[in-house]
Amino acid sequence: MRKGIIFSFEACVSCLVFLLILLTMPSQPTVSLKELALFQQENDLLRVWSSEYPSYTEIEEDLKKLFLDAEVFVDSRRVAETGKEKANSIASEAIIIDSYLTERKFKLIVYYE
Amino acid sequence: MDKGIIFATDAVIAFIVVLITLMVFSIMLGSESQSLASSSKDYFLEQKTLAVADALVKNSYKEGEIGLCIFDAEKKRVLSNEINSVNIYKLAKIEQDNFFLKSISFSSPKRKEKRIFEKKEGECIVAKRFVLIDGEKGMLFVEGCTFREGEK
Repeated sequence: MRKGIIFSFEACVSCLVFLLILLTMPSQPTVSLKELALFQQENDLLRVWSSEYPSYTEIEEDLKKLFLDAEVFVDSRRVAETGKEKANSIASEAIIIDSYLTERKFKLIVYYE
Repeated sequence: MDKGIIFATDAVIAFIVVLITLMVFSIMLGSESQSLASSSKDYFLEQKTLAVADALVKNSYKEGEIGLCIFDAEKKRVLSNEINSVNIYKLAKIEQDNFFLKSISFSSPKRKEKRIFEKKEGECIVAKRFVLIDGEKGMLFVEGCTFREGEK
């Protein structure tokens, strides 16, 4: 019998199991209330716009104060956009009555990482 | 057959693998528990600050309660997101568990004001809300903090 180290099948299996354990280690999910904060801010904008019906310029100005990447649609027509380069989005809708008592459907989409 | 200990390579490798696994697990557990503790602290601060900011812009002002909004007596309803700036100066200090409200500030095209409730330092975050302040569009900044360990 030759001298040397015999690396058996069992040893290989245990090494593989070890590697598998390392690979399948559960990582802690990151918990954040970012979505809630964005949703509250969307609600703020729609609430204020419902109180004082805005012009398209005002919509864009207000949007820039709160969000880096967002879009606003009024009756399915895009009226303001600050960007949409992010992977995730949250949308809110509201029906707001304008100065001519016409119902306008506002849709606000905020994009975030 | 001679008496003695058989020293097999398999057994040594398996033993080393078990030892390394245990070591890696203990290191992982330590770092996980540490990051969990810090993230739960961050979560607590974020949760409290957002809750206080939301209460401030949704509830009407009453002594001893958390709210800054105007109450429309004629319509018998709270005008959410419509704030009277005077209420900021009437508001009492807010402190609960390890959380405290440090300051509230607002900025509108004509005014910028800040009320500091607590001068102590801590870990803080700011919640930003869009409101009507005295009938003008503006931003409300609510700064919530947690006391540093052993400082309360």
